[in-house]
Amino acid sequence: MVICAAGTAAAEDQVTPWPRWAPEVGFGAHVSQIGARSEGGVDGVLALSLGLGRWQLFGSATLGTAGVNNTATTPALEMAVDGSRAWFGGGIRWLARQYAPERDFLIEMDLHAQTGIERYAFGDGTRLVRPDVAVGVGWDVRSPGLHQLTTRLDVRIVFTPTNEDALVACRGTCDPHSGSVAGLDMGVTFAW
Amino acid sequence: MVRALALVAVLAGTARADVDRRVGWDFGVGALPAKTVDIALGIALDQRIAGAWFATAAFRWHWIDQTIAMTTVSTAGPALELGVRHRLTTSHRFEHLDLNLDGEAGIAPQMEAYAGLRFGYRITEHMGPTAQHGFDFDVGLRAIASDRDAVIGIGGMFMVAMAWDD
Repeated sequence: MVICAAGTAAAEDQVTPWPRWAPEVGFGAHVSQIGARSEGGVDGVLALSLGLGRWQLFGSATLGTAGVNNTATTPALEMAVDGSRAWFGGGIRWLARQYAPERDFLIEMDLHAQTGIERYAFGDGTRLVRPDVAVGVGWDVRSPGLHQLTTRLDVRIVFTPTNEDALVACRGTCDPHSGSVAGLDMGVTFAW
Repeated sequence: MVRALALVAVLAGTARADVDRRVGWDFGVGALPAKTVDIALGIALDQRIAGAWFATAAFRWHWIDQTIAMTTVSTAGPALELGVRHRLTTSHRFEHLDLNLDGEAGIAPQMEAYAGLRFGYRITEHMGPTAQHGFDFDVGLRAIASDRDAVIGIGGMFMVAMAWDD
């Protein structure tokens, strides 16, 4: 009901469209699960977007840190394993709402979906490559008259497939049949 | 709970054609009973039903960490939330900027109920090329009653929300 209402409201309104091309840089943070264990880190973000009216296609890459905490399964052997995480992928963004307090100052809400591949490399030599799919929302302020300068805050739910990744970076007793659950990813980026 | 759901549905259905509606998203962090931490991300709809009363609906994704016998168990999943919001007071002291204080209450199907306060501002001017009418930014504090895992108790959640008026 909520999503339907978001999609149908203000459909006829005239909005200032996304810019044709928009490079984007920023930083973010993510938390996810590898098997039954929590994983998290911070990321640098690089992206390029193509605007098509209220729609925007984008490709993005991130490089950052990753750390696995093993306390979920072995509280007596509390150990963390650190490493790196690289992700690249692409998606589509829809300009759901726009508010213009001034002609050259927009406050916008977007809904977006994306998919990509992430690769973990941990300090103990273990590796993990897995696909993901994400849906999320974003808030941005944009100045069309100032090189389309945009400051954006994105938050999304990230789904990863269930598989035998539970043994990656495992210490102590880890359940190889535990599946992943949805993670959380967010970023603060600047586009122009 | 069923009666409350029916009440919200009836109120939403009888709203006037010129009612005020807003759509937005929110993010919350809370501590629930049974040593449970809840992080929530949601899309929310507010619909004015009469005067200062709004019916609210939200689709929210929850990340929940529960500590059981020194072990943290993580789960995640969606929830639908229905409620009502009442504008307690508004300040028009600043031009084009309203300061609002709202009370809210509601229920979620997983046997939770909440009551809370929201404080926020609303920019109401619409000088630009769009026909939309306002932008709202709120911070809120909720008390949440839950019977999670047969442990009945009260928790709390801090929320940040933003919404665009239609």
